[in-house]
Amino acid sequence: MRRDTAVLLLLAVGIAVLPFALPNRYFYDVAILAGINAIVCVGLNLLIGYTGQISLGHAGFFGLGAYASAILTGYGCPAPAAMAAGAVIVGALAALVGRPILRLKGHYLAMATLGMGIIISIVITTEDRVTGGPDGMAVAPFGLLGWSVQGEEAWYWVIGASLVATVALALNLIASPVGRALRAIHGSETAAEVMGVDVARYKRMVFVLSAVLAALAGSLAAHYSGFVSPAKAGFMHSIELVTMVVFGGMASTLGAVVGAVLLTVLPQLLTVLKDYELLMFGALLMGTMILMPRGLLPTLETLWRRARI
Amino acid sequence: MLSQAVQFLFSGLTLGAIYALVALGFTLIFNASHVINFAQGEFVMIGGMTTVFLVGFGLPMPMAIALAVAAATGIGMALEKLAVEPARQASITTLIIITIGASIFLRGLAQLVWDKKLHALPPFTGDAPIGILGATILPQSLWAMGVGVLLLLALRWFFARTLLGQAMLATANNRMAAQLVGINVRRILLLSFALSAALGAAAGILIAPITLTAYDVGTNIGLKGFAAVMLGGLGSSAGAVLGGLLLGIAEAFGAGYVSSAYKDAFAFVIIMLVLLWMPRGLLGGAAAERV
Amino acid sequence: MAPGPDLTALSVRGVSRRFGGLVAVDNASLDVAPGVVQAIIGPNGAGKTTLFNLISGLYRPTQGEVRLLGEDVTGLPPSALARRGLSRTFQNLQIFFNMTAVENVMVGAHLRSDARLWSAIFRPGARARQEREAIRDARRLMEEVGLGAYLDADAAAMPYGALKRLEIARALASRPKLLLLDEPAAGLTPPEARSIGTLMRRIAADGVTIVLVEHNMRLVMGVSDRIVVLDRGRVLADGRADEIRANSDVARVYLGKRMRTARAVVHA
Ligand SMILES: Nc1ncnc2c1ncn2[C@@H]1O[C@H](COP(=O)(O)OP(=O)(O)OP(=O)(O)O)[C@@H](O)[C@H]1O
Ligand SMILES: [Mg+2]
Repeated sequence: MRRDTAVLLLLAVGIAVLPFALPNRYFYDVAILAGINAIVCVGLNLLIGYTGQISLGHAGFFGLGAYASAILTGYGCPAPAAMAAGAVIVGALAALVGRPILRLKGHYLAMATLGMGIIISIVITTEDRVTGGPDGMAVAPFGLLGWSVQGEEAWYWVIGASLVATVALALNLIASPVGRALRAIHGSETAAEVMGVDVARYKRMVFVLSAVLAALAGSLAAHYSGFVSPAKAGFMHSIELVTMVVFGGMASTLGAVVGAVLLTVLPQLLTVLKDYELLMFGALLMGTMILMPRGLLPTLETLWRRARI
Repeated sequence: MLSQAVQFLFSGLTLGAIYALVALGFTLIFNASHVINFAQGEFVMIGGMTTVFLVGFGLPMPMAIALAVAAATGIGMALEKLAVEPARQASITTLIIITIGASIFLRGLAQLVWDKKLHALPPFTGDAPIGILGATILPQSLWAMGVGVLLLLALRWFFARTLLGQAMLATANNRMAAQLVGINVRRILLLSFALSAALGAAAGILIAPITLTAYDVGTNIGLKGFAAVMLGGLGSSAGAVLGGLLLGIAEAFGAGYVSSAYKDAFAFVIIMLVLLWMPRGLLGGAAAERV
Repeated sequence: MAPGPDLTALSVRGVSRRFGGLVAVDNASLDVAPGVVQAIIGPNGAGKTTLFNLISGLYRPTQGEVRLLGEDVTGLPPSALARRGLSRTFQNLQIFFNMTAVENVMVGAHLRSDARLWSAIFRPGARARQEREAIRDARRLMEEVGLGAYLDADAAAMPYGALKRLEIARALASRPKLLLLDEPAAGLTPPEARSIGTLMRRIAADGVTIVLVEHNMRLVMGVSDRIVVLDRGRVLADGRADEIRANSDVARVYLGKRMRTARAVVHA
């Protein structure tokens, strides 16, 4: 518990002092995008890192959340209500789809979640009368009763607070008997089930939880940028999210945050390389994962512990 | 009516032949290494793009094709040596990310070496459609199906009749036992990447005159190939071919009769429905965990 | 005369399980009275583990019925059986290698913990005391099964013999009424096996009914009240330990096994 408190404090202080180092709006923008990705990754890490169930389709949930906000506020629904509705819809969908597909294992689960995400993104791209199709659609600002979140600085605090709340939620969950049951499922589904863990129910629960977090982050992203496009729901975005989780270190909440931040910032840095961007990104990704197959944070922790002994 | 169905069947079989080749590539690598190679689609891209550019330089088509397959094969082997071999102990998820890193890298490389434009490869033998049963078929489609079948037969012969093929099968069955009887498992691994890359490149060259090619065509075709493998059942070669053909045909008929906008969705709807009933694909065996 | 349903801890009635063409368990029946140590013996492949899997809900029987403390539990999932007081260990260890030893044992106490999502996320303070208690219980259990040296170990760092005990501690953490032990002494040295025997007697003395699958006949004869002999899925003999020892069919089956074992040794 003490370690978790320290992690949370570290994160909160980091977020609080970071603005002193952000010289202009562009840097705020990158920080906000990193925060949004981090929220999704913390949730996804509960599923992939702790419970050991892969999903290659979470961008679908992110996209649905974003489009729910875009479409519903377009019809005059208040933004918070639209956001809640998006979360409920995505949660219900995840519960429905999760029941059959979470029985699948390993690569078959990867296939099914990937298929689900792709189907969602194709539906969003194709049903252009509601979604604007491949061109995307504009989103109203996030507001209620005349008051609204405007400008990078305000958004920075909204996203920062949301991230701290999400991390607190994840840390609490993992430190509880529920978290232990999830990790047990990762270790041995058979033994977990025999010890009384309702494996199917817990898998579904964490799948829904991670999907809802993705949907909420999607809503926030849509309102922040004032625009949504189908790419946000697409396969490549799903892959980016999983990559962030694995890169930062599976089964480490702080790792998920670090992975999300680094892999959001890195492509921004690489844009100076212009045509070499993809090449370098691919090479860095491969290189890191080969050298640190457990991800950044767990590897650093091991090194740190060894250095102290 | 009938002619329309025949038309869809032709385009379905053409696509299916391509998917089957890509799916077989996945299977070869999976059986040798238990890695799902998400860079499989990039072999397809490399095959198509290399041929396009070599032909552009004025090389005769057969020579361009041979060089393109050789190039892809070399890259496949490099991928195994430089990225997969060093990460042997990594988890499934990490290996997936590594091969995804490889696919991004190869896409970046293609975009640097060539460009970001769409390219057409001239058909092997003209583009005058041939009429059959009221439908028409492009000569290139016949090439795709014909060469696809030939490659399948060649693979079958390789696995059934050659010592190397038998060694690959043995390694797929039981790595430890294969090692004990003196099979060089690491060489088998390298060979599986080489063969798989060559198959992918062949698929890319066969399809390039029909669908055009570009540095980023690998993602979509790789995903379809993956879906085909899983539909057939991971690890089964017959399943890979079956899955590829079924998805190709479903896609053609779905696009024709249901909705062309949802063309790319049919493969994934089908795989998800099948996995509901058969959680290990059509020809995948039973789960093996014993406690 | 079979005892009435309310008098048996476990009752297996005409249970069969097929795998394709193979009948792994063939119309097997057995009754286990509360508080006894019941052994199941038989050569490799006789179907002992399969029978355990059928009893604990990991497999569904092709036919037949399983009753736990008088209640028909056929086809219920393992977690439902755990809730009714059944626990077990595994021949092929099913340790949570991603956790510490203590956490492994704590998972065994899952059903007694507050495992609701709501309190997990929003009431960490209220939970902290329960967690401290759970940790203390788990450590005490580990000491009781002789794992005092591994109280702070990661499961992945423990030797095989210790992991076998860890499985027993984890199973006990659920406070089972019926405990199935699948070859708890396999791979252990003779002194280790003897101390497993002592441990089993202590567990039985606490009133836990034990069903034991084991090849170590010295251990079996030392702790069992009753023995069932399984051969090719069928119950060959069922009786008190001394009756079984005198049974010539059993000797023949086991002589066969010993010859197979000898051959395996030559080939290794
Ligand atoms: N899941 C399964 N699928 C197919 N066959 C199985 C399965 N589980 C067990 N079998 C087969 O059923 C038979 C009985 O196996 P089981 O593991 O129950 O034997 P056992 O008595 O526990 O043997 P041992 O003493 O070696 O542990 C064996 O032939 C085994 O191969
Ligand atoms: Mg057994």
